Amino acid sequence: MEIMGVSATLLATFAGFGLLIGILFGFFGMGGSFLVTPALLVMGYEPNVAVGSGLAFVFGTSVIATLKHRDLGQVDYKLGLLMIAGTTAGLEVGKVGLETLQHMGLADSVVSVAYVLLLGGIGAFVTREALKGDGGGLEHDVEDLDADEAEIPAIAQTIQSYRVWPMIRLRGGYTVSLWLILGVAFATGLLSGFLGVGGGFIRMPALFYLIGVPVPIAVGTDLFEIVFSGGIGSLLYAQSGAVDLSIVVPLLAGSALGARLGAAATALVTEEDIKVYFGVMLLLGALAVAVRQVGGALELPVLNTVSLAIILGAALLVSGAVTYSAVRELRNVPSERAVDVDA
Amino acid sequence: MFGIESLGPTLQAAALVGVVLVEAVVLYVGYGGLEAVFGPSLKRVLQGRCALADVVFRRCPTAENGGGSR
Repeated sequence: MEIMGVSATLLATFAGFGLLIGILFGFFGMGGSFLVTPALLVMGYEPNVAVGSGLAFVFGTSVIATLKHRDLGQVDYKLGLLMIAGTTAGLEVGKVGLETLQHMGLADSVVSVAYVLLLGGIGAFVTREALKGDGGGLEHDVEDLDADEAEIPAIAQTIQSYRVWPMIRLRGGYTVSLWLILGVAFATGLLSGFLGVGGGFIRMPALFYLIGVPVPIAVGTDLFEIVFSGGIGSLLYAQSGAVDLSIVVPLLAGSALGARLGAAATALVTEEDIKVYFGVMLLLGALAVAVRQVGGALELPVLNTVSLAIILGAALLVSGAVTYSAVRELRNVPSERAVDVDA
Repeated sequence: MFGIESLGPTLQAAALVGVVLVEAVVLYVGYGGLEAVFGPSLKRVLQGRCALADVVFRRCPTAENGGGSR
């Protein structure tokens, strides 16, 4: 059976895949192009179509997830706009660095090694920080969030202590120097321009660990930024005919539902859990890139498939864990109430 | 798809991004409506306060603290 000239099975596959990615995207504010583009490449799509359609999908999903996070009060627009300004400048400089490496013929190997080190490094750091925490975690009810009670990482506290004029007041009631925000945004833009990735996996931990933004607001603000970067990116690719709506439309239909579930789960799952899942996701992502790189070096195409299997397995594992944790938290609510009544 | 192939490259690109944006907003509103209608029932099922069959046959109490069946 065909719908608008596209096989119904293919549409259903894309919608199911979209659901999985949507949960991750809504929960972490990252993971779209990181998962979609390699999958499309393995399915035999041209690289420009895989990247262009991946970007268009990320744009649509980030619009939906940002709207949802906005409803939950988890988007800091002022911080988001400042981050866009700093990131754009960083992206341009990163692109120049990448082009220089391409002229030298070193781009592929340097970028792959940097990608694995960065993804693995952030993943190991986030997982270690989460595991050594007191286990209490923070609830993700931002309306009740008090900056004094929030667990601000030591690095962020040090950064916040540099009071270089002008100071900007952020959501949560704390103030940070404008230059520090722009500096962090520039650095994350530089890395994402250099690595040729969307940068959600760099920005989200940077917002939390370097600026001290609470995780739910870091996720919401990161998504707000992705709306702009994804929109501009997909427009550029669409001009060369590299956006395929028969991929984007069903993927988005599935991910819209997943993003809603993922964003709602951030209000239920504790912050320590989010950090562990995020860290595991990044570590598995680093492993997948490393396997693909080894496959390229040894000319073993089977390792590309192994790499994709690791990425898809990680997506399935982490989205399953997120869903399980959210349902477990939901189930705890009535039993806690019952204890209160008994007491 | 969606009859935008006849437009020029720039307009076509803008229309493609527009289609994605409109789809995103429609899905957000549509799924939001579904969540408003079915969300509370689904939440009660997930919390173990009602069986799925009770929700389907509208036998699940809608009051926040469990209603009459408690």
